[in-house]
Amino acid sequence: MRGDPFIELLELSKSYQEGDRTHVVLDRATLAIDPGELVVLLGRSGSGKTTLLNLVSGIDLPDEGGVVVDGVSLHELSERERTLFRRHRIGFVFQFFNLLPTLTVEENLLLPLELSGRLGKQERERALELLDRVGLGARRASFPERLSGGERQRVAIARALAHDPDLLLADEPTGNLDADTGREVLDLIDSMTRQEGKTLVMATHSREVAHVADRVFRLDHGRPVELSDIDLVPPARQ
Amino acid sequence: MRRLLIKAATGHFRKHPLQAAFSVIGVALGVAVFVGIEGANGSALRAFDVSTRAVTGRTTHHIVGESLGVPGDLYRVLRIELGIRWSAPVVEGFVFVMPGPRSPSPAGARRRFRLLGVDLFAESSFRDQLDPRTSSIDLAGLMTRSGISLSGPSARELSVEPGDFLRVVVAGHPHQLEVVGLFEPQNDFERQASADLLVTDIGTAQALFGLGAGISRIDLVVPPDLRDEPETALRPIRDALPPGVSIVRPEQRSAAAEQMTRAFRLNLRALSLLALLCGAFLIYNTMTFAVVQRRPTLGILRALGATSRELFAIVLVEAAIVGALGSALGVPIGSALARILVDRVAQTVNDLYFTVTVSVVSVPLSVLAAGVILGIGAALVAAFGPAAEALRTEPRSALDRAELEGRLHRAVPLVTAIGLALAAAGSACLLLPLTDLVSSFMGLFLVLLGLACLTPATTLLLMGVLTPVAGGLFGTLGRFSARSVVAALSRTGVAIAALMMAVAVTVGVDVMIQSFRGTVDRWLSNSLPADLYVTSPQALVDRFSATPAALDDADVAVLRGLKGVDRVTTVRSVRVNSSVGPVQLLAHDLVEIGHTAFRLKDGDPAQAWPAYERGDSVLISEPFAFRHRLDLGESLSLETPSGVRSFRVAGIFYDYATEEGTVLLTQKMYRELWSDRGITAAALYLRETSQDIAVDSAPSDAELERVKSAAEAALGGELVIRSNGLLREQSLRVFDRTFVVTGVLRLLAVLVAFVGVLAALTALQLERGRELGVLRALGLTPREVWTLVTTQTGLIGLVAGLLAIPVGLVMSAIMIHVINRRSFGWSLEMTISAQPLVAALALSIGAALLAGLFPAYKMSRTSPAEALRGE
Ligand SMILES: Nc1ncnc2c1ncn2[C@@H]1O[C@H](COP(=O)(O)OP(=O)(O)OP(=O)(O)O)[C@@H](O)[C@H]1O
Ligand SMILES: [Mg+2]
Repeated sequence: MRGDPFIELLELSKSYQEGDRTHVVLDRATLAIDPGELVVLLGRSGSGKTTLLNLVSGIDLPDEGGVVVDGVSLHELSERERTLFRRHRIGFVFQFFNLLPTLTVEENLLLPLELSGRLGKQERERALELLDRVGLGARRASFPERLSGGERQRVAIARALAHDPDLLLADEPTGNLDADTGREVLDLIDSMTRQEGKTLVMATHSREVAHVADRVFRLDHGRPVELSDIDLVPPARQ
Repeated sequence: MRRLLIKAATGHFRKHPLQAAFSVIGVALGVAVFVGIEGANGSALRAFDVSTRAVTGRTTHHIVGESLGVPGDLYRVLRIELGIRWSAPVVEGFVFVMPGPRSPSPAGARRRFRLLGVDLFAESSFRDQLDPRTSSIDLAGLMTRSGISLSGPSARELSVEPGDFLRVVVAGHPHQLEVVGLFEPQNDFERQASADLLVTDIGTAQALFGLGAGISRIDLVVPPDLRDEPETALRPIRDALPPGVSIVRPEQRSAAAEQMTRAFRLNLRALSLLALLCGAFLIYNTMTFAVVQRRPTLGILRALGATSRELFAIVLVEAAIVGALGSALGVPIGSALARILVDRVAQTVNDLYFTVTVSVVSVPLSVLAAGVILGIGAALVAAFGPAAEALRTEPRSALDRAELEGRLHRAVPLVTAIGLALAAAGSACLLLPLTDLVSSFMGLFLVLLGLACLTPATTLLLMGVLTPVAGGLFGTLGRFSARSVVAALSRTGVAIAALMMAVAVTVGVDVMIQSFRGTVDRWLSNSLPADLYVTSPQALVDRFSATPAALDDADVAVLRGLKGVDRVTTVRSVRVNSSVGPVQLLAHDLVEIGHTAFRLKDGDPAQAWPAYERGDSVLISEPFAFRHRLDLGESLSLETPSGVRSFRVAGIFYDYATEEGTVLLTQKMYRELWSDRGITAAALYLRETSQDIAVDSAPSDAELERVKSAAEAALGGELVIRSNGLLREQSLRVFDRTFVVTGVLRLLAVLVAFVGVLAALTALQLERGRELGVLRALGLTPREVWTLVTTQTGLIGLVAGLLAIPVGLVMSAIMIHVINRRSFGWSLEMTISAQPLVAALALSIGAALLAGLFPAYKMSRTSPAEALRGE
């Protein structure tokens, strides 16, 4: 038996207008994700993964349909309420641009805590511990431009978890990493979220990531389609 | 060609046209101010030149006296005894013409005209206005019916025709004069020259101006066969001239006008260049930003094989285009501005120097060209740094903003050192015993530029203090915005510097004007000890042409006999020739109490006054001493009808009445030497009405009014009688008018700075789009983004305002103690009150907040999803 889903996509549609061409990205997408579930979103480049995550986090709005997170209908909130919801409940790892260049690694890490007004001594220590766990404790004082692409990604992961959100959205968190580091980071995310019972939605196009997932979906023609284990057998073994 | 390279490199401006637009506006405003000021200055001078030439005609030499004009007898001697037929007498002065009955202009709208009285029999070879081929003038009417003629266009403007009567006010008295004919200008120059000209018979003019047989001057046309050796032809005339009368060439009048107004015009020019400097800051700002933003693009282009020279060239060409567009826009705006300013400039010239009416404003091509060259030049100079930055771009440069900021922060000590060096060089220009104005303005500019270079360092210092304050007030966001002011110093620094400059100009000009006004005000109250002043209206209209005496001894006796009048002192004001050129001589018959009107700057009053009273010494005003480098104890020779006489300078007094300065001599000595018993003005001291010392001893308004009416009744209504209060008020009004142009310029400087802040903030917004996207995604509400940006803008305004106050004070000190002294020779007392400083701070913060509204709004509205997608 399942309880109420943590995330629910209700016939979500999103299209972009470019000149007189309409480019449909999401077409009445429907999906339900349980609390504490780890869901992986596969799909070819341009299939709409980032778009979907943006809709779930509420930084973008659908043309039609709605998103419900933990019983809250994001599409019915005002911009401000949506922002505050995100501030307290959601952690985000972006695909490209994550860290504020004018802040040090540590400052970037503490920013969400500061924003949600929970920057106590304890929280600070916990956040710095996260930094240690992603292996960058020694780079606290560095500015982001001094870090490699993978290191930046790891700081972003630590930051996404710093304020202890219920939901973590990660867009290609391992895209810039070599295979070994990618696996390490993945395990890290896996353990850090599962331990705390957080819900995680991760977008990627590498099927290898799928092995940590509870469920795997592929975005196909604007809709998520759940893949069975059979579908996930690496191509080499097929 | 390299079409794609150029397209790739310049895509930035196509994508962000607002950025380019701000630069263009900055240049346009700078160029406009320059063209406007130069155009207005030039038009005022050219108007003087043109109208001088109109009444000069073919004249090769003038015989002129000083204030007393030329005795009419001299003309007879020339013409009859010496048989010089190439001479003609002229009477010239200024009158007001009231609009005709059919004129559409309001009844009060009077116009100033130059009235030229000529001798019809001597005239033909001198001027064309009365030439029967181009005019329809009833010469008989001109002579017999006191008629006047004017140019066709002027007549049409005034809606009068031959046969109509024109209402002309001369020296306060209305006259009805018949228009007996019109002359038609044959070309543009003549049209301009004759726009404000009335021609009449010399007898009529003498009567109107009350000159008796006196004339303003005698014109000479040296015959062509004698032109090679004019001196031979002129020698017999020179020998016949009485003392105080000399021969000058017409060009000398224009040259004198130019010389007289030089300091005034130079001051205005410097202010206009200051506006251009603010514009250059703007370009620097935009171009630096454009280069920084394009680093990745430029890096990729380098990797693909574009040479660094090509990138350098692209940036410079862009700047040149911005400069050219700005100039193209600025030139017409400047021409329009010239039209607005010319009246003000002409008014000031009228108030301070000589009478000029400007009817046509045309900005000469040379000024327009100079404007364009300055505009493009400023753009290129400003873009040089950013272009060099582009030149240094490494292929695939990994350098991003934070790196750049880091480099900038490391460069702060260097920039500060450069600033200090510039300020030191500027101070040297100001402190060295130089006297020329150009070096003074150089000094002022260097000091200002130097202080602007200190902006990054002082901003860092100030922000160190303000960050916790902002944090305390607005929490995390406050701290964050304060920090981003520092973090984006390469952007904010320039915005702060530009705003600081403009506000500093405001503070500087305000404090300077305030100090100036305060000094003049104190001087006025001190130098007008009498209760009523009586003078002729003519003396007020035109200070430098022949001023007939307003009063004589009999009039003064009448004034002395009036009930309630305690004492009367008089002054004769004339222009005489001296060892240092023509000077304004004031011959006073001061009583003891009058001494207080002259506060001595140099010289011991206990010795100076007795020496002056003896008549062998003079007192000179401060600007006079400055202008002619005369010191205490040195001697000054004056040409008197009884030969050259030398006087010792016994004292130097403070005086702000004229820029050229005055010489004070006892009336007793003047009358002895010049045998002129005329009086220009009288000062009346009223008897104290109250015996009670405790009560203010100043006479009541009613008493003043009573004595005034009595004086008017006794002497006839031909005089202007003013109380010291009114005189002071009128003088201050003239003073305020003088600074109207300055006020306009100050406003424009602020406008340029405003655009500068707007440009810098929109640039920041563009650049921080992704950062704000991240912040929005992390949970910053649009309102908080708005607060963030607005706090940042407010801080920029606050820092700029705080820095502007000391810089403005330094600037006003330089203007007061160096520029003004070297321009006019006045010592002014610097007075600083809180009001302009508070106003500056409010202006700075207000301008920044206002400029920040739009960027803040845009930033808060940006969709985070879009922002994160990036460029
Ligand atoms: N603002 C926009 N305007 C026009 N088209 C857009 C916009 N944003 C996204 N798209 C289009 O929507 C589609 C989905 O984009 P999205 O970024 O969600 O893809 P993605 O699955 O994340 O791809 P990738 O794996 O390459 O990151 C793309 O084809 C993209 O071009
Ligand atoms: Mg994507």
